[in-house]
Amino acid sequence: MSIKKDILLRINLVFVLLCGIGALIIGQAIHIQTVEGEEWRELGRTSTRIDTIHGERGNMYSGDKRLLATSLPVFEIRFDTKTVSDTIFNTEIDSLAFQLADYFKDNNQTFYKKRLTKGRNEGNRYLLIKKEVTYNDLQEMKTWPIFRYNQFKGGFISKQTNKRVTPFSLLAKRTIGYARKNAQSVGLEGSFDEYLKGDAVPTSVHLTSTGRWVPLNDDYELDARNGNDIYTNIDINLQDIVHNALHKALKKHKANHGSVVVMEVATGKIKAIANLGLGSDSTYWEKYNYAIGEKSEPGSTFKIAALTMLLEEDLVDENTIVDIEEGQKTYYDKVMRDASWYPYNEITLQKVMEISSNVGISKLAEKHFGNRPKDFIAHLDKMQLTKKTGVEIKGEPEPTIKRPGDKDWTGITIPWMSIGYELELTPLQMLTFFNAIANDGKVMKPYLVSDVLELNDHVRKFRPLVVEEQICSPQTARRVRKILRSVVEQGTAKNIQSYTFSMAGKTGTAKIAKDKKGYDKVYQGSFAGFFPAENPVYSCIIVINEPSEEGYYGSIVAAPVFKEIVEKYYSSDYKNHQAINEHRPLIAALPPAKVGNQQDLETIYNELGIKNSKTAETDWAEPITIYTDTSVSVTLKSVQMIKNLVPRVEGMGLRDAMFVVENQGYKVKFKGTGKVVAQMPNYGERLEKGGIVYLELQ
Amino acid sequence: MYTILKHLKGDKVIWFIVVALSLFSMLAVYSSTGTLAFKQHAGSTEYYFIKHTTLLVLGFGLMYLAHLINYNYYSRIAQLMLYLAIPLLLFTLLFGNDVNQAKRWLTVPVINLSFQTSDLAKLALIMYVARVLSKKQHVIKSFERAFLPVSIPVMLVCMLIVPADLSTAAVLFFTCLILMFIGRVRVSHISLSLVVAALAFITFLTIASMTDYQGRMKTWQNRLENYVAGNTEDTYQMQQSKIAIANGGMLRVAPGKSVQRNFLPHPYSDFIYAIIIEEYGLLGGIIIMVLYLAFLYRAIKIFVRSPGAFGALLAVGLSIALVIQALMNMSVTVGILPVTGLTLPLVSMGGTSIWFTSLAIGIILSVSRYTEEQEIINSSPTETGAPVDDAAIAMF
Repeated sequence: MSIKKDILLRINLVFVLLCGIGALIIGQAIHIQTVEGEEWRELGRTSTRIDTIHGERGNMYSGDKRLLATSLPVFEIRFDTKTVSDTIFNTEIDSLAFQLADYFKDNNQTFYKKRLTKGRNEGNRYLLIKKEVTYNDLQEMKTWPIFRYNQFKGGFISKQTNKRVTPFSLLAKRTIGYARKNAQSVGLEGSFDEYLKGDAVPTSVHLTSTGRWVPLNDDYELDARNGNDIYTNIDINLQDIVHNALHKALKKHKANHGSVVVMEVATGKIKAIANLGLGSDSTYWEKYNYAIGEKSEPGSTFKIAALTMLLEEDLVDENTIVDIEEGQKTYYDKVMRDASWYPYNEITLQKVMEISSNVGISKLAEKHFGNRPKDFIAHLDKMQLTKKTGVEIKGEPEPTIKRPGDKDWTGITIPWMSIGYELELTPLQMLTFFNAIANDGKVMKPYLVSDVLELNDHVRKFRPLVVEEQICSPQTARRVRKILRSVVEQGTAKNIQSYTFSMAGKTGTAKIAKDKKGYDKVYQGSFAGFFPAENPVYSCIIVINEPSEEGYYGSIVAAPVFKEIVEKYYSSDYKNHQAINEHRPLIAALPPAKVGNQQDLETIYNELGIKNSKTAETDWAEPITIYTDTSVSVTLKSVQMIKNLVPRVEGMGLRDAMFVVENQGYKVKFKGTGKVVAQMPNYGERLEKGGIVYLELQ
Repeated sequence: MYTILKHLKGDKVIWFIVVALSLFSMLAVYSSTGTLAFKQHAGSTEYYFIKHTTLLVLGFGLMYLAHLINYNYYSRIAQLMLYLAIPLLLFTLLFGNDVNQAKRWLTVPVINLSFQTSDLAKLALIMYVARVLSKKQHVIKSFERAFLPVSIPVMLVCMLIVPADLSTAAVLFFTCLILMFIGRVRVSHISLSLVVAALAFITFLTIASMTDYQGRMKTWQNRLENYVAGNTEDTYQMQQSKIAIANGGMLRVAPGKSVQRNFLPHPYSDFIYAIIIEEYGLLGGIIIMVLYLAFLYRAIKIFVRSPGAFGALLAVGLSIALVIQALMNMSVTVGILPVTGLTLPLVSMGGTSIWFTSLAIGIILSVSRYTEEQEIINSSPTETGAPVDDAAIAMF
């Protein structure tokens, strides 16, 4: 045999041997698949699974870096009743039950003992002891009888979960919102979920022989990136003021719900947003984001849009005379009435706005835009009143605005739109417009979130966004602001006038459909404005839905909320308070004066050496303080009294008010002391002689 | 396609097998890096796929270059490589990169490439053994003139690999013994070397335990205990591997559908065979097996045709080493052998070790190629420029 043949023989031997090993391997694989197959597949199903490890959810902060929402670890405590030996269970069950009752104070010892014993008799290996205990509780519980023997002898099972908490409880709660797994998320928690939630890392875990699920690789846990932190524009102090003011008003007027938004004029930052609705338990809570999600007919606040376009096109000016036709006008077959009667027919546009005459503004709108409705709508488009604001919260509806050519566009659409009917807006959309007036015609996009941070690094930064550079000239905006200021000083919102700080705004009262069907009508009082009047820093809207029938006017239900916000804001904010005084460094403010006998007032002001003038010779007059840079003077505005009409006594002291009311042949019932802040019926309403006028004094 | 094939000389079946294994490799690696990739590169399995494919393509290049070189040069290269490998092994043992308490890796300065010195030593040693066996055929039964010259380097290299990588050393040692058997070394001599190796290993263990050299001792101890008693991680790996095989069934085509890749540690390397069976059924497993055995069969064909002893033994030796490693890996996967950490050559994801495998295959193809060319030359009067293989004359 040659060498080569010998070697070949050996090679073949090795080859056969290796083929044999190969066959053995395949044979073993077949064995695993068939004979042992079901066993292995079953083991695969029961002993392995993929868990998800979540990074910690990010925090949400207010503008001044206070925690609005955060996640706290909480523990669910369960008890494996079967692992505990009889000796341990029987000797320690009483003291454990005592500890549970003593620590949590929610049930007595007997209750806990029964529960534990019953669980053991049923062989429950996962008996719920307590949900959501804190880390400290957990540490404490681990020292208790039975539980102290740990999981394997004591059956103590704790499972960590995270609980979302809002440290400022109800404040802006709906806006902060919440994220849900299998349902629609709400508020910023929902909109910014992608940033907040952090990573979810799938991790393979397997069951060990000791019955614990352990991750295949411990490193995975470190890899679940935590969520980013969200910094909002919310000013928690202001939010607190707004929330409480709204709550108070809702309670007082037994309203169904209401909302308030405060926006920074120059930037569009939402500094406070409160939404309260009446719950089934008769308390108010942040039930729904009405400010952003609920649209309705705004009523008179919308007149400012009509006013702005009339002024901007130079069709009218403050002194344009309008005949308000005794507060009643028929357009085609529909009658428009003013909310209250005014003793003059031929009045200036300024007065029309002050008394919020529906007839006055609708006549001007009809006169100048009735034949060119497209321009009317074009103005609204430019004013951004026909679009969503695009605020970060989901669920903002598109405004309902009719357009010429629409099926429901009729000859009365323009007059009715001009007074805020036949169209629907959300409070925030309305406020965005008022903010633009305060901001010299520049529309800012309202926004809630300023920064998204990962630890200390910016992930995103949101800057103020100009939506529309100029909805009207700055001059027009200034003229509108002046009119809005006079609304507060001598118009429908006069009841909130203050001599320590200046405000401007417009009241609105609308009778709106309670639900979509629209048969059941309810009132909605609102107020939109800004402060300080001369150089606005904040704009604000208050909308109060379904107040009680006793007082539903915007001036009664909403405007005082505005005043309270402004008042508290200045009293709590030292810096701003100073800034207000800077405007009038030389002149002391006059103390507030009430409506009174004209002659009496004249005498007093003359005695004090204060310049005064009067508008007409009447019995009664209202002093209006006028400040300029170097002087202060008072105008005594005449107050008319008409028969069979309730006189206006708001602002008067009780003595004068009673005199005036009784002079008209009515009786007075009153409560409180000080000045009259509210009257029922409202002034200008007809009331038969002998009727009762209710006054509220403060 | 034709032009590419024209450039690929040597056994076309081997080329085909290499391509087939590489394709399987790409699929299985892409699937089984799923979990690992998520961890380290934020969900980018593509990263590993691209890296692995690049390594395979470069390996192909190496294979091509190696097969262009006349295999007779490898005789001398083997010698030089071994002289280089021994000090490098020693150096690695002392100063290598520590991975899991095993110093196996060496980083080449400047180009910053890490490789396992044992891969280099393995290739060098098998080539060297083929060289010595072919040279000593006329005195092959002699203890001093044939056995010692071949067994001393084997012993030396294996002993240097043992501390860091026991399983590689063991497989290399047995592969060399098989080569010695094929190369007609006396069976009594081979048995003797087994005894010597056993004694040397015991001595090493004793010294190691006395000198407090922790190293891999604990791991070995654990693994051995686990294999015998079976209670922890290795048993876990075995269980998961068997679950994967059981999930696979006979026939299945489910690329990327492996469940067990999430639970098997190192599914892309040590246990890739289990993943292949899980995704492509038992048939997939059989195909892989047949490809390796066919590879060896083709190498034997080369042996038969090769006129020179060195070339013949070189081709067979390298093929056997490759196939033995593959069989070892698969044996571990089905649970015949304890967990070792040996990869499935050409299929497992692995860095530079793919290149040493490619180099080995390139050398086999070189033998095949020159054998084919020589057959043509022998039928024509012209001389070849290649160095004359003196061993060939001595042997046949």
